[in-house]
Amino acid sequence: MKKGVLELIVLLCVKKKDRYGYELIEEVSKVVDVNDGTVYPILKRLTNEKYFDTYLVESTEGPPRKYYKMTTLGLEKLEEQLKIWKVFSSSVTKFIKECEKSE
Amino acid sequence: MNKEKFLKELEKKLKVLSPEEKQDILNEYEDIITEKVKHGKTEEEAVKEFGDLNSLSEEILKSYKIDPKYQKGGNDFLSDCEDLIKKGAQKLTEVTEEVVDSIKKSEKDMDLEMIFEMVIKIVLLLIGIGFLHIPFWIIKEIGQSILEGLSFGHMFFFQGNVIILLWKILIEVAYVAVCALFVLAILKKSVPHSDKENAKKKKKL
Repeated sequence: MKKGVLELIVLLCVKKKDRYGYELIEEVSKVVDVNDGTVYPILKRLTNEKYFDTYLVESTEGPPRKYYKMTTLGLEKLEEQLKIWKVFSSSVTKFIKECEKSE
Repeated sequence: MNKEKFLKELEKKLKVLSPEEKQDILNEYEDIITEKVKHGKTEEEAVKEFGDLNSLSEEILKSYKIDPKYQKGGNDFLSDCEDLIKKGAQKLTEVTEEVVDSIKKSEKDMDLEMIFEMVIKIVLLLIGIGFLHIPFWIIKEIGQSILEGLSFGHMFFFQGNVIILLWKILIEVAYVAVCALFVLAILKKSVPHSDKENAKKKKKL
């Protein structure tokens, strides 16, 4: 169940602010308790599918950092995922309420 | 597992990727581990948080639309067929683009002579394809007679016919495939390679 919504969370995080790998993993872990191994592949896939763009930023502390940012295609994908999530979560919540009522 | 070992293992799993992509991914993971260590974790803890290395690399490969089976060196017949189809489609696109571009380029020089040249080439191509059919036809007929000979008395009329039909289809498909390759080869030869093409290809990659 968590995996399904992970993509949505990653998209939202990057829309909020351009992120680099570690930063994104930390943000996502705050929202959902998943192991970090699942986050990076999603990030990679979304980048490969052109929902994200990347750029490098020089760092004083070491090698240049790769930042991920949203593309227009990514914004569309986000809208689509938000719609799906809202429909899904409202129908599940509704069903739970019905079950609890009839108890 | 410490950082060094983790990265080495991951590198092995990602062997099938291009060196740039592979290095890119390894760099990213190294950065992430380094950051975690900066924030107080040990290398072992950081690596553990990634979970199972195998599932990790599988997920990464999937994001390149690569069948994770490739990392185990699996030689699936089906995935080989898929590959062949993909390669064929790629080649076809490439060559079509080259042809279109070369036509665009030579548009200003397009005169009656060139048009006739093209027509003659196309006609020769069609004749060539016609001749190509002959060996396949022979194979098909021989195969058919053999099958008919076998099925006589051994199988029911219907089953025998189905097998013969399948054989015919197989040969026809093989013929079409060879034709396609033949046409591609001819087209490729007749189209001059331009720098524009190579630049376009590089951009795509």
